[in-house]
Amino acid sequence: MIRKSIIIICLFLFLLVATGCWDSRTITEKTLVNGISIDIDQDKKIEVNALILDIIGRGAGVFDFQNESVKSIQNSVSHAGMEIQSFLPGDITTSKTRVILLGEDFSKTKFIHLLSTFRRRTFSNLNVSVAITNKQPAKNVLALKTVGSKPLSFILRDTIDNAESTSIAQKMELFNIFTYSSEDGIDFTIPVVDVSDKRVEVVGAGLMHNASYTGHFITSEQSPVLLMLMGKYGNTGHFITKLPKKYEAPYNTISYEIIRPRNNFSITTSKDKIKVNLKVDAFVRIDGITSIKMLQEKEMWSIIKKDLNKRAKEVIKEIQVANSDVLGIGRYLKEHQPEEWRKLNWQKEYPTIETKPKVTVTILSTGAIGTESQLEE
Amino acid sequence: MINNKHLFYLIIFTQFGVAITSFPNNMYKVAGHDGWISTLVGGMIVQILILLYYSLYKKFPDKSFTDYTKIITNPFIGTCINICYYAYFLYVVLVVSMRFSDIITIWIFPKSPSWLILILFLLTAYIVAKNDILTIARTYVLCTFIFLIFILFLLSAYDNVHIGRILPIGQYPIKKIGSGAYSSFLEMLGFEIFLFIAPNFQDTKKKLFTLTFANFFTTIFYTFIIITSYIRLSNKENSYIIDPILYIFKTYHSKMIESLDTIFLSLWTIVICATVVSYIYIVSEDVHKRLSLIVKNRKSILLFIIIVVFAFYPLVSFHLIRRETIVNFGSYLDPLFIIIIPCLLFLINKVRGLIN
Repeated sequence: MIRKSIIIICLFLFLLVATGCWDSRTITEKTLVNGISIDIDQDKKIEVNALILDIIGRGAGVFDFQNESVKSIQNSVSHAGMEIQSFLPGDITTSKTRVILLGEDFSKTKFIHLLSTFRRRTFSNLNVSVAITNKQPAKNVLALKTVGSKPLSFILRDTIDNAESTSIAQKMELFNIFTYSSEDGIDFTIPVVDVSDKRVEVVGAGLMHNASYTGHFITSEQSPVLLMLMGKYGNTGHFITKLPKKYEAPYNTISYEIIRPRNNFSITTSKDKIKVNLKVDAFVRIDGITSIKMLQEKEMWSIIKKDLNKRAKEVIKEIQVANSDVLGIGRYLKEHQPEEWRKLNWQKEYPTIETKPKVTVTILSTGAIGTESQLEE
Repeated sequence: MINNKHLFYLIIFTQFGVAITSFPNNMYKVAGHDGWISTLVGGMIVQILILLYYSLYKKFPDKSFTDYTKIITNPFIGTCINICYYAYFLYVVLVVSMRFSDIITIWIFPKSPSWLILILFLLTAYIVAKNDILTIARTYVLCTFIFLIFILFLLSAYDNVHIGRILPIGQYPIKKIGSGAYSSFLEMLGFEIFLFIAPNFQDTKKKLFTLTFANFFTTIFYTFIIITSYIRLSNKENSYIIDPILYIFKTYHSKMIESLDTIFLSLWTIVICATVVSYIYIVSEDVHKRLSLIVKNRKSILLFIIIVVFAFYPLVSFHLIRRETIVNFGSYLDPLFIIIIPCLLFLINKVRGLIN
């Protein structure tokens, strides 16, 4: 009995002493990087700016934070990280990073190779939101440090999350970017952010081609249409359509949201010609009609349908100009008609293919007010 | 004495092991995105071998494989074959525990010394393996919940899948799919313990059915894992991420829970340990049976085995032997011990039966 208990006590002590004591890292010794901006300059040097949040306990469960930004210009991201480590106390860790901002110039390079350190090291966070800064280096946005009273990275992450759920930008975290950019025949979008009046906002979905930014982005008014066509729609999306001319401003708008759109596309290939038919079923909930005049449900329906179809055509035109196959037509061909795909030079072919979008609209509800609600004057 | 239920768990716990995390990657290298077909074919190869083993077992019920090597050949050759088998099992234990300490070092404890991880791992195996086979089997039954958690975690990956990634089906030539089937068969090893624990069986029917069902479970589970990885990650990623399953778990994120890879590994350690337990149990039990006059205690044999396995650690860590050399060695040993020797014994026995 005594022997047994000695063994048990010894084992217990051994476990206490031995389990991961080399790896125990208390949070106070860590320096948490929660926002990173990456730029490239003309000499191909990488500039990394990092936002570091110091949490200062004030006692009684009250915390203060101090937002510090550090900078390093080196040959690579991990090299810059090492330099930042050299002048900061504690272990810098990217396991809680919330957002990575890519400068416009940086995002036009083949940047996934430059970010390989995030994938190779198993302790960095792959669920971080990525955004491109519009026509400016990313450090300019990061220089804001705080928005209102909150740290920039928290606000930015929330803004991007919100943009994803309202279908302004595709849901794209770092690991998704790695996956998509290593795949042939499909491109993706990354949210584009901009600063206006000391606030950050998502201005649209940046179109990528061959894993680098094309410089074109679909504005936030149009991008829900794009996401609808792509089948990457978020929870909801808000649209505003102007009524035809006979309705006078400002009594001429109709606003609505679209939920759970269904899309499918069919591709026909015949003699070097590829035709794509995109079909989208949109389910509409009317949020507001400002018209004074009577508006029949049928009229409402046809106005919305006409507008959505027009927008879809515009969006398709824009993505073909940018040569960004976000719809995954190339991937579809690769998977279903591999013989055809091998013959194609997709880079050249894609802008010339004929893509016909067709949006069908179903009005689900008109809210608390009935369908023929507007009073005739 | 173990019944069919215990046999089932013993076999599946031995078949699943450390290879599971890198399985999609290994398969992709051989058979491309048709690797899942190879896995199914690999399951069929296992089934054929199980039939062969079963007919061997039927010839000599209540005897262990190490007994009938002696009966079929002669005692001297039989003993030589048995010693080779012990060495082979120790080799398997060595490879599994090395790979385990590697994975833990890369994914959970980068700064902890790997010798310590190895010691803790082998010590755990020792504590389980010193018990009798029924206790071991019951321990396995108790740990089945890990498989459920694994399935649950894998389902979390279905958030971001594109099924088209395994299309077009059958694009790779049959030769490649065949060699993929062979390598997936090598990953599914562990069913051979059936022959060695045979003396402990309760006299129950439907043994073959149990074995087939265990194999069916393993094959389907492996296929599920590989398909999940193939449709979740892009084709190129599958070819260069070493542990795709852990990578997929790592990318999962929700408000409640993060880094599934760490949680998964801490649970899966038990299953990896179970593989080692099965092998060292077999070796120690068998050696003990042969040398019961010299060695009274099975525990001392077990300790000896563990020390032998651990003794290889310095050789590898000081780069006297390259790790790849040890692992590649397996490509000669596995077919020899799993396919060729049992087949030969079976044939010799058949021929002898015909002559008599």
